[in-house]
Amino acid sequence: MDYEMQSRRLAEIAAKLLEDETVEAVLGLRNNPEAGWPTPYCARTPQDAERLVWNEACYTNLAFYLTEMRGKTAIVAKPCDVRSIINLISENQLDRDNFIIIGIECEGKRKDGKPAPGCDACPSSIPGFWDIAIGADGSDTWCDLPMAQTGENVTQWAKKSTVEERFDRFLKEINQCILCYACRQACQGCYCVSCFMDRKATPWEQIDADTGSKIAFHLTRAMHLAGRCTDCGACEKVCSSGVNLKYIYKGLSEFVEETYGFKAGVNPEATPVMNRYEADDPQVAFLGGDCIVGI
Amino acid sequence: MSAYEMRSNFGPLHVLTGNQVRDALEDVLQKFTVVAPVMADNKLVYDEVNDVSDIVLNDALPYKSPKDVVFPRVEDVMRFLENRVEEAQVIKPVLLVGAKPCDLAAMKVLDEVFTGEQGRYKDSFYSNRRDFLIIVGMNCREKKSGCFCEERGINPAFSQDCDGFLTLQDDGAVYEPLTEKGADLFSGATAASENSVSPGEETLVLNTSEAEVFTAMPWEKYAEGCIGCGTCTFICPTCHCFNLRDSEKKGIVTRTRVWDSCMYPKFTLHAGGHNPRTRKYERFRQRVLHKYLYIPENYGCTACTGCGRCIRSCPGGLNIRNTVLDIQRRLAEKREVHV
Amino acid sequence: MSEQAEFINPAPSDPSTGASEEWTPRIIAFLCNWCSYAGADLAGTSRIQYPPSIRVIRVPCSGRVNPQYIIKALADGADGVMVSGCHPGDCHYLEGNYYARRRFAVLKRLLSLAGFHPDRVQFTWVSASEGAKFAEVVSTVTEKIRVLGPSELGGRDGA
Repeated sequence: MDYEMQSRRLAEIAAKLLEDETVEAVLGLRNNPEAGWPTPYCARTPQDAERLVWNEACYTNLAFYLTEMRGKTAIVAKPCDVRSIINLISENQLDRDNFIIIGIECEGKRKDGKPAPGCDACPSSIPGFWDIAIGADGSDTWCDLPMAQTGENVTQWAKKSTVEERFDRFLKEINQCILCYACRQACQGCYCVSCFMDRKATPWEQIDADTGSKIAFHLTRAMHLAGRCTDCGACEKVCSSGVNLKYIYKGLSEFVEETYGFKAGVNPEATPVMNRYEADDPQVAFLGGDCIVGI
Repeated sequence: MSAYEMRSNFGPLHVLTGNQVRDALEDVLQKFTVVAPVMADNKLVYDEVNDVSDIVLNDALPYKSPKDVVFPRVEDVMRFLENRVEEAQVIKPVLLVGAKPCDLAAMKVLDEVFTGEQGRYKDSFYSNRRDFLIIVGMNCREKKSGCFCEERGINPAFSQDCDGFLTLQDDGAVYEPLTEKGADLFSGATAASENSVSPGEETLVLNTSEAEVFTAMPWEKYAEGCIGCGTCTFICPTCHCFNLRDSEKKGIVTRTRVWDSCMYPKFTLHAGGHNPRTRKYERFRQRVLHKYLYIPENYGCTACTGCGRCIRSCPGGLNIRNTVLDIQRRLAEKREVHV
Repeated sequence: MSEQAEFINPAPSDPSTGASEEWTPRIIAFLCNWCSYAGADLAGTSRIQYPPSIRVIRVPCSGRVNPQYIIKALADGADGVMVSGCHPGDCHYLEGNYYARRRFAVLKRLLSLAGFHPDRVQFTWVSASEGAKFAEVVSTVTEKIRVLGPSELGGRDGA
């Protein structure tokens, strides 16, 4: 990885796009010494473009910000950002004509000296699609770096573990949660105007901060993200309490891929997996079914 | 009256060796419920302590503030039974050890808001807990990225807003009792006080009016990165907005107080459906002005202590200090032009 | 961190969790209006016996069962949840149960991952003419959950 070359080329490209008025804004990251890591930044003038950086701590998923932008935008996107963008396009949340993707090669980011959440399972260093490419060496060709892919296989873990072990792991994470909803806010898939957690219309929906409510929140969120999670790790990256629940989302992604052959963030034309059905879907969950679902 | 005279009423200084600090902590652990900085999942937090060896007394600042000792995240405040109403009681004395000067200053702001020294509203649930709380402060020798307590007029080496102050040194510590409650918590070789209290000058303040900044400042630009997660308000030592919820279980209605956050879109949603703060910049503006303008107007103190927690934790990289500095700069420019 | 405030009088204990002779699971049953609810009716009018462990909630379609309902029931301490709808192909709304089938498969995997025993949530198809099958299903489900014992979260507040 040549971050310096990548940063330089990124700044050049961004400055050019802004100068030509091809786009109104370039969404990227800038250095932020007070925060301690690069934070989201929206460059609007060619001079601003110089502040855009690219280094090993640029782990923020910018797809969320893209949904908020007005006017034509260019987004600096690594593979996980592009997966998220594809997911949003397939759900009609983004108009492909309204933005330009500056795809940037990434071999995994680091947070607090460790691989950032999600990066250890990333399948490829090249974004799914792009308009302008910035390769690992700063050129306009991809280097296709080998990926470590050391992330845990949740299904395998679940098959080996007991119910108690799984419950303990889940409760251990849940107990640290303070229900601040940062994970929901940072998630590309959580774009509902009115989240189920914010609706307090009926008594049964009431949310306190007890264990039951935390379970209800995290499980329902996981359910809503089934087949939609792009494994970008944004939920764990923003969590200020250190709740690591990505394994649940990942486990569901693995299940959906294995059972229905669907992977989120691959095909922008695809109908989301939970929005369709096949008449011969397996009866795995049902009484008398072969119950492979039950692990 | 000099600071020394005022403080000496509660006994002399105690010079403790490292072992004596541990023994003293062992001792207080027998008498009180102790809340102190402990490591939990690689993060330093204020939490209840069961074992002295868990306590981490050093220069790191716990990532969450100690406010939930007196203002818990979730608290049952009253119950409605068939024919009567019951209020919650607190009976357990709690000892908070290792609060940094910035957090002590924050506790003073909360006291001001909840216990109404100026004859305002008095929150019985807060003051109940506060009455049973003993605080031992601790010095802070290291400035973290994003810290700006000195600009907020807080001396990281010493604070009087506690019952006793522990000054960590390279070998051991010095304990200085400041109130009757803190008089005999730690004991060691006695010495005369030499600490001098030098409250710094508050340079990061907003001397302005709402009319001057409400629409004139580029709030939209300041709040660009906000994702509305509310992390800043939850880890802030002075944020104190709450919501009351009633829930019914088996015929008993319990009223619960839970933290709320002005950074949520639903915070200001009215019953009729109107929402006065729908945009994220409006919510960020509320947070900044509440800390730097409204609380100073109402209580005479600024509700930001410069602990820097929100700056370090914000996923969007929002920075309250830079925002206030920028407002100061713009105001100064504007006034110059007028002259 | 900080302990909850205390009230002078402790909350009255739940009579149903007291010293009872034999523990019966509390199961929330979501029944589709057009098939399974009618099936349950038929079981009743045919005087077929089945364990009194289910609390029935009638829904228009198994596709109407929001996974949140099931999660909420478990999180609030139900010992088990049962959902029953029309057989695939027989849905009154043509395709509601097909969507439900995918949803339930994912939900069941999700609950397993989070450490809820997979047997705590049961899905079945029961038609309006299958009174005997309904009784059999309830007996099977009750037995499966009885073996598991009370919910891990049951002590929380007794749903």
